[in-house]
Amino acid sequence: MVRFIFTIIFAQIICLCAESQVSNIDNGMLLEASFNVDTIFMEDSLKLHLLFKNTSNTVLDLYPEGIIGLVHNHKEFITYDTPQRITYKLHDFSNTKKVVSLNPGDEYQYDFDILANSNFFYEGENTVLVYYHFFDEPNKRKCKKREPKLSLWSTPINIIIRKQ
Amino acid sequence: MIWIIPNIGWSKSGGLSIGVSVVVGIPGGLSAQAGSGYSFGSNDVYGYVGATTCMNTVYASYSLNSGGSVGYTSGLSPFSGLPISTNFGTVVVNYNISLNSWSGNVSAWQIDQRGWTFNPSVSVMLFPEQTTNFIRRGKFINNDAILKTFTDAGDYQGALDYFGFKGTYDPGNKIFNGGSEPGAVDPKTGDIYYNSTAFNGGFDKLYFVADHEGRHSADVRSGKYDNLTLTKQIMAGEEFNTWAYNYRRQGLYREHGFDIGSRLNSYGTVAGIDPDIIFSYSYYQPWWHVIHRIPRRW
Repeated sequence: MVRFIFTIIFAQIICLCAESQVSNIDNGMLLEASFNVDTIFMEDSLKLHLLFKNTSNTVLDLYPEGIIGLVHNHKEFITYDTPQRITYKLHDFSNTKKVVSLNPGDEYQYDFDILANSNFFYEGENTVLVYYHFFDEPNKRKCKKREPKLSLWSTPINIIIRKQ
Repeated sequence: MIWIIPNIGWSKSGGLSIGVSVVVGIPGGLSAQAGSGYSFGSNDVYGYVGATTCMNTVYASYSLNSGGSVGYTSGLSPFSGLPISTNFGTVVVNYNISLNSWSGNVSAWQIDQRGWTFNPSVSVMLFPEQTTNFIRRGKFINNDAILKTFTDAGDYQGALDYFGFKGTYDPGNKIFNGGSEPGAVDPKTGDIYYNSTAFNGGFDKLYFVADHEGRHSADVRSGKYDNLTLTKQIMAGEEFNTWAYNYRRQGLYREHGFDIGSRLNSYGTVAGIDPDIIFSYSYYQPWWHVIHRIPRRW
């Protein structure tokens, strides 16, 4: 019994030590986002343009296929009526196999095709932001809480959604 | 908050009993209570007063057969919030003033001058919602029905006040922007606002929304976000933690109707929280998470 208790305590200490080893979030990368249109009808499709730029003085590796999505720029803590209103997920896992090396000042850009659906978007003016999180490897030690290796946020962008 | 809790109990030595308790505060957490009852097995009438903090209770009691007693009890007493409770999770020390004798129990094992005896007991709450509503409103109906009487009359703020939920009914507030979100909290003041959709899913949904917004409000008012730029990532983290808080308290409002797993997943994703932690709430739930859904009153 005593041995069991010491084993539990020892395991807890290991977990606490692991949690304190938080990786740094790199700020040497800039994320810009824009829509291809200013106004669109509900349920029509549009393009979201993403641009990553190395703003540091060193060569950086970018994993473009991180966890990416849209979120409303609400300033209050709002309990949304549906979970779909919380975020429009564009890419929901970190692909560690696709990597792009960016020299200082280099850019990498690509588009997402998205749908202006009523699950996420409101009728009228919507102000949204794009987030990007990258986790470098699967969590093999479940008691270790990981921070993303890289987190980026775009500035707010606007889109007006009109009723069909 | 006032609770009136009728109960029926059974113990090996005392047999069947019935009683009623009046509790002020959060029973089991920080409360004062008084009650009386009748034991059929020992043909005894008893009464008591007590005060509780964090499951520790001091009490004074009197019964026609045994006289006056004072004592201390710790653990999962009938005031722990569970609809059914037993003495298996309690420790009791009791001094009988009339007989000048000590007794006590550890779990279901009782000790007195005669030595150790096994005396399990169980107590079940009887219609605590209905009884409380009967005393307060004169109607022996549950909280869902009471809520409906308020909403049918268009008295949404009255419902919030009756149940003791902080905040203001304000569906026209610009925070909601004409949408159907049930509740919101101002991140600067901690003020809580309710939309009409908070009231359309029964008492459990309203209780859930009030508990959720109340947690945000408490976090804001604690000062944890003072002198901090409230980024969307920080806000999503606050939402994740608050939904996890609700997840752990589901036993209070089992019929809330919210898809908590999806919301934890979404807010965790936005906040950049380890996917392996997010998924444990929505996809890989450990078996023991069932404890979060055990029905409880507080």
